[in-house]
Amino acid sequence: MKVGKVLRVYVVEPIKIPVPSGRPQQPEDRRRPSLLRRR
Amino acid sequence: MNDVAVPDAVDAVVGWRAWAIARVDGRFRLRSVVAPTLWHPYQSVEATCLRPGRRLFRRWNVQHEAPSAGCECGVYATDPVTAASYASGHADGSERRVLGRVALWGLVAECERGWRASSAYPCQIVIPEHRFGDDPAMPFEVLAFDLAEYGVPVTIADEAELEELMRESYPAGR
Repeated sequence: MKVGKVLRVYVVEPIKIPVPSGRPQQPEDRRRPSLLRRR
Repeated sequence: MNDVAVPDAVDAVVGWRAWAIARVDGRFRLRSVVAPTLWHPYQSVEATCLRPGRRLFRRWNVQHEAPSAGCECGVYATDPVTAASYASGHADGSERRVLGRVALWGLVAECERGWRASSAYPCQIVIPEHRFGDDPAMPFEVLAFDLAEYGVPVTIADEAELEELMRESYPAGR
């Protein structure tokens, strides 16, 4: 990916990364169409 | 860039990028398009220079932190239109790609057409439905399910929806 020359540099605070929640996903879950998000 | 130390931006920069799809232990995962870097769920990507002997640093063989102004290293993000152009994948369908928004933080180099940063994590993953078709090796619902494990919204968009999404988002993070 080409983004060109550096114009300026700054330091940014970290974001909160999502953490796993709920029950572990099961193999059978992988075919549940309800899990898809559509615009 | 070692002399930049004072945080002067609180919110993460959000840009767009493309990812290739890799299969890891039977799961579909995000992989960088131009490097073998895997993006794992719930883990930030920390940039390292994969080509420390390149350009300015070649003659001194100097290791450096990423991103460096004298190199091309760092985690990249750009505007949605450019990201979408990188999300096309290979014409023969041998590599599938998605795109989305990515948060950048740590040391962030703002460039002419995007950013390079030291740390990153996806904010939103968009699966361009029209570029996948019916690929039995990559069932659509399985791909979406696996990518949902990143804990961020996964959006399936056809061509018109993708264009609308990019119009809404441009210029992203600027």
